[in-house]
Amino acid sequence: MTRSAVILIASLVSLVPLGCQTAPVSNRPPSSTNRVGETQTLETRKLNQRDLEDFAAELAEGLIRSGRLVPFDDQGPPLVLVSRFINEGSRGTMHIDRNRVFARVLDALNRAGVATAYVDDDPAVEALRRDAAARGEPLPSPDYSVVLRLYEDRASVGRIDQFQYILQMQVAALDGPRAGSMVWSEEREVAKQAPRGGAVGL
Amino acid sequence: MTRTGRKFEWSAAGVFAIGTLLLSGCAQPPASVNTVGPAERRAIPTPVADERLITDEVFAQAAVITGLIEGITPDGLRIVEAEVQNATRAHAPFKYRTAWFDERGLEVRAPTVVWRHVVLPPGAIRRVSAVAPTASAYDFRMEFYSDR
Repeated sequence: MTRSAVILIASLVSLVPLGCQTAPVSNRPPSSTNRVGETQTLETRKLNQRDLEDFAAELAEGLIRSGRLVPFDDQGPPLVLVSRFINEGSRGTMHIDRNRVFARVLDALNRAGVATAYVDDDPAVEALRRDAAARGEPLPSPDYSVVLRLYEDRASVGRIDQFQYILQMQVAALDGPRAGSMVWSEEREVAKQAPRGGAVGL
Repeated sequence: MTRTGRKFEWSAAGVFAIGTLLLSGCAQPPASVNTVGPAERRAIPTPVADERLITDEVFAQAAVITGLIEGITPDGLRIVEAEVQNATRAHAPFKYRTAWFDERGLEVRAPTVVWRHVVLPPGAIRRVSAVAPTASAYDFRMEFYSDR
């Protein structure tokens, strides 16, 4: 083997580890906590809160896109009551915080300016409603109500478990010519597969 | 000696045949989505001239963005839709997000700006869309990220 060939091989071999090195070396201890970004969060075996909040935001966007929230008077955008979260899922979904899911819907509708959305869980607003009703001047009632429903389907084949979750948003008119009927509905679903007992998370 | 040799030849041929069959079974391409639609389309989409910044060449060639169109919601909010085609023979999982900007170029933050997950079957063509979160959000930037 010629000397130049030896030098070439040696230089190539020295380059191999450089090619494999994809990230700079961290000076943190291995056991320390890392702050991660949105695209680095753990994919859990079952439904996580973040999945559901993102679905709620998507559904709210779908409702905005549909243009079905029309006002029944000239007082501006219609009043929308985000009223219920019905959880038809198993015990594994009981950790879901409905208020955080509602917050996404409220925020999306209000920012878009297509509705004035609210929830019925503010004691101050409730007191105001009671006082106004007692005076004989009730506050405006909602034009639409939004109900969110969560469903879960589970299937297993061999050593694989599959968890499927469906979040459905239903909008009913409470005023106008279609009062009492559903005017819009849409759903999002996610299916997760994991080896039995082998995944991280819930 | 000859008979033994012939036996060997037969068994070798058998193994070769079985091997070929197995290999041909393995080599069969996976299922891929076929699509059909009208040759003359009634819809007249409004295409958007796009500018791309590709940092993941492999993913860009796998999930090909074939078009970008826009529209307006009944309430006057801008809608954008990108058409993505899976050009591979495997499922293509990816995330996408749409950032929005106002008329001064400032980013409009909103709860609807989230990473959305899509799994595109082989050969499939799908539209991914976003609605401007406010009336002041006009310009946009769609980001696509491989989730392999």
